[in-house]
Amino acid sequence: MSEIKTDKLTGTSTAGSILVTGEGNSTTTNLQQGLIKSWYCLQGTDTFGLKDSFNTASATDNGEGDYTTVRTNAFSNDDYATAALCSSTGGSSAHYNFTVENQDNRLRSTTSLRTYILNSQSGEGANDALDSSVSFMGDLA
Amino acid sequence: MALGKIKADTLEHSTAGSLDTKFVVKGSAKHWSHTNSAGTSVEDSFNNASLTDTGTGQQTHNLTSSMSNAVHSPQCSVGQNYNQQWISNIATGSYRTNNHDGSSYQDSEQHPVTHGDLA
Repeated sequence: MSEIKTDKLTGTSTAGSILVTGEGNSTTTNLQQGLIKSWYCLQGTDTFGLKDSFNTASATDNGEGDYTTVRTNAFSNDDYATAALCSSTGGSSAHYNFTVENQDNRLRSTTSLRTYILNSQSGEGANDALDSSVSFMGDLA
Repeated sequence: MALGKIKADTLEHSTAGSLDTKFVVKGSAKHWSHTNSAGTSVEDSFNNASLTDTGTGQQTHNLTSSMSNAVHSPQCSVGQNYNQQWISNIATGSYRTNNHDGSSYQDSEQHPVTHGDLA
């Protein structure tokens, strides 16, 4: 086994671009482009707050199922992609929650994203979920 | 300057711990994009050859470098308050994301991502 000990990887031709050979041993993928640049898991019920995170400066509870999170290091634009998952509502008649961008009070910037936890079985009203997690892919500034 | 090449099984940071490089290769997203609300253009992306506006609320994402199989793991978030999103038509070089409000397909910004093995 070979091992590299370093605190920083930088491309030689382009500082922010390093190629990695893919699983098929021929095609290459871009290291920086494939990395998740920010992620978080927050608790929405009871005591609100971040449970664990990376490159996430803060999380704000705007109301029922309505959260804003802020990145520490900004993206270069607001066209990043996200993947999200949240807990269903517990109890004997579990409701099915899903995460979307908040379009009633839209906030998508290079640092901030405002999300809704919506409930598909209650007229799509917002409600808190025990866990809410989002990962972000895109270009750092 | 000639391109350098490093072969290693492990990366180690001075304080943040070490990482087997298989997590870099297998753990990196192999495709992502951010489409416009009409589903007709791509605002930003990685490994994205083109977008096909398959129909209202249905977008097919075509990859530049294909996956090794059709069991990679796409996910998608959307930018509107519609209550049904799902993935379909997963192939080595493309996958489709669908957005529905319970009654009909609806266009929206879509943010697909996939993980898996490159060909």
